[in-house]
Amino acid sequence: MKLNNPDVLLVDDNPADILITTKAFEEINPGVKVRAAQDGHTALEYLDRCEGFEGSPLPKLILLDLNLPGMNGLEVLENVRSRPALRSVPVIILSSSAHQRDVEKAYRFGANSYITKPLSWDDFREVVAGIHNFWLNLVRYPEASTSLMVEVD
Amino acid sequence: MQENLLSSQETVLFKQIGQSNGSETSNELNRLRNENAALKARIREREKQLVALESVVEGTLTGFWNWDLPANYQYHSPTFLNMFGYEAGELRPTPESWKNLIYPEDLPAVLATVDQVLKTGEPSAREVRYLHKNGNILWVYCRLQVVEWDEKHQPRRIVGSQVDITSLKETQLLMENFFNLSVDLFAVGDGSGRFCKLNPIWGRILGYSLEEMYEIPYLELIHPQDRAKTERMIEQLLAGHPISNLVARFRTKTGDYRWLSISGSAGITNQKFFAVARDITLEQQIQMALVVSEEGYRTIFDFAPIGIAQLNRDGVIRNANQSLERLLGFDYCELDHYNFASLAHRDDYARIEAAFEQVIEKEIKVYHGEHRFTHKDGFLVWGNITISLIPNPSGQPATVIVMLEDISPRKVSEFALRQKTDQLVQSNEELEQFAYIASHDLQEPLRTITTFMQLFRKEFHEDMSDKAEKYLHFVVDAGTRMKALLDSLLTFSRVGRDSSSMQAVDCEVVLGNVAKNLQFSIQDSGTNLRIGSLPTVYGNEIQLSQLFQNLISNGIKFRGESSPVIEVFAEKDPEGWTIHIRDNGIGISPEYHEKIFHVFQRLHHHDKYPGTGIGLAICKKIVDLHQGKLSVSSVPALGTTFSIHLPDFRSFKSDEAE
Repeated sequence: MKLNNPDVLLVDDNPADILITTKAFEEINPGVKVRAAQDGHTALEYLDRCEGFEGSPLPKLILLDLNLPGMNGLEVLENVRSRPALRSVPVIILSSSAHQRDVEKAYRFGANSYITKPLSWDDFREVVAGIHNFWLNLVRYPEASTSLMVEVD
Repeated sequence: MQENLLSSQETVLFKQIGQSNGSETSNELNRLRNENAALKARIREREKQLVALESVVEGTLTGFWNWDLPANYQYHSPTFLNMFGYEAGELRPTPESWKNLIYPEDLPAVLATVDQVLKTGEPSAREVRYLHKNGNILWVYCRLQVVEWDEKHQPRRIVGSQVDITSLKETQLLMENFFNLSVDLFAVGDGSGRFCKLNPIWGRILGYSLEEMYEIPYLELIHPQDRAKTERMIEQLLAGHPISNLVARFRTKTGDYRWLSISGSAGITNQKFFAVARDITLEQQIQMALVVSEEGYRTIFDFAPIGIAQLNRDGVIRNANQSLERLLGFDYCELDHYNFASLAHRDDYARIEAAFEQVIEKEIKVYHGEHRFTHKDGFLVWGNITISLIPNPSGQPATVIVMLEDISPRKVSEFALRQKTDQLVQSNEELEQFAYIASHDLQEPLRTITTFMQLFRKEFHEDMSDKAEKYLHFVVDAGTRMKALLDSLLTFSRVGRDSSSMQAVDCEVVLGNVAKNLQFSIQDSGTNLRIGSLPTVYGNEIQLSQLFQNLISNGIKFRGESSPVIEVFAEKDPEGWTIHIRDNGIGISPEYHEKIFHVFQRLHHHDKYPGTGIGLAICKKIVDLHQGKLSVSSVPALGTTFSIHLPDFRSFKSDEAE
């Protein structure tokens, strides 16, 4: 299934990173709606709302920074992974840390991939393009209803 | 029988009478008759005397025989016969009967004595065993004497007198057995100063032969210090007074002394004494040892550097030594009647009480523990204490011994060491935290700066003056360098101790991998990398790879005009291996030989030799972690040699668990 207007939830406390991520998506596919939350609580509240309304679409992809104020990225990841409706939604960690300890933890908590934020704009744009092409274009996901039926089981 | 009693003179007289004529003879005859009557009277008198004599002899319980040699007739007196259980007339009066009475073994000696007496005419005596009629053996004292000779002066008659000495013999044998078998010493001495008789035990105890002992004046055998009193005692003995329990040391043949306890009594005649002695050396030694050990323990107790106290069953101090008093700040005897456990710090009181009970109840043999005690002045004294029981076999209450060693100085230094260790652990943790901060928190703003400068340049490029462009370039360049510095610092801080990854590492394999990793820069620079024979060392393979890679890259990087030649070779020494990495590069001035190992120390301008200056600092850290030594020797413009000394596995100090 091709997602024409996929929603991306970006959780990052750094406005500069929100800006360049949004900018990168705009350049690659202006149809992608990037919704940004600057902390974990805001992100989880948004997901609560999505789950509450039948019509309101859940994000198709979550981009998550680890170093967040208050609730940290891993806690957000843990919460997301506990929601049946979001089981097949990929969570990509986009962090400035290249620390092995962080990488290991992220995968242990159920991240789909871990990417270190590149230093230059060009590299950053490449990374976003890669994410877009792979996770939003190439990968197939179950239909929303099917997915829900699976959950009932 | 009467005939036998006539003397030879009388016999001659009778013969003359028989040969004379009757004519001239009436006077002569009368005279002879008178003489004859007188003689007969004498003979009768003699006979009476003989009967009396025999009864006297028999009365002394001496039996005798009278042997007429020519007639081969032997008279046996009644006592003689009775002595062997025979009645008068029961034995034939012949020498053979007598010989049969003699114990066969003794017969040859008896006959020899008879021959000797007959030959010499001298009487002789000996002790002979006879057989009683009932089969018993009797000891008999037998004396032989010739009493009559014939005209040719040949013995004609021999008499043997016999006394039964069996009971005397038995008594003598008894005495001799006791004398010889006794473990006590018997001695007979006299005024001559020498022993007259000693029993064999003397020889065994003093080591001399008895013959030797009879030769030595007894006072010379006695220890000089005991001589005077012994002399007095002997004078007393010789004067007829008994003595008892004289203790004197007698010198043995080997020069030692034995302690003898002597009792004695005077002999029947003066100038003789009898003494009985007993060897009490062992008792004396035990007693001496007891005195010595008691004094020894007393000395140990009094002057030991550790505190010692004797407690009763209730834990009350009965006796404390000076050290314990001093350790706890008490005066002499002030500690007596204190409960020992009450001297402990209140947090240690219960444990000591419990240990004391365990020792008293014999649940444990001895208790060891480190406990705090309170000095009289209030401060803490750390003591290593031992509690043990001294059982009293005689059933009296047992004693408990407590020993207390002052370990306060050790405890203080242990505490200081622990504090230092804690500080080190904390500072290590802080360092790790810093490394994390450097990798994450410091990089984030840096990344934003760099990214947005690039974006800025990209989007406003056309509106920017050359000057603005130039300034922007500096900002972007500085940001990039700072990122490199942070990365190096992170790498440096991550080179850590990891004893679990220490193993045997073949340096030839490591260098092979390093050469592969660096193959492009080796090719590009035209480097000639010569790897010699290298040892297997004990180390962390990843770190050693990094070490060699850094040093070889350095050699390539800091090359001179000519194409680089880098040699790697090893030398063995008693402590381990030294591996040299020698290049023909630009070299390092001696004043920088130390500095180059510091973090971020750079000797060259960025433009010429880019780098963060962390490479050698990491090398040094790796070698340090391997308990090795990294050194450099260099001639500027000719080349540099880095030498890594790595210790043998045997001399490697294993890490304490961190």
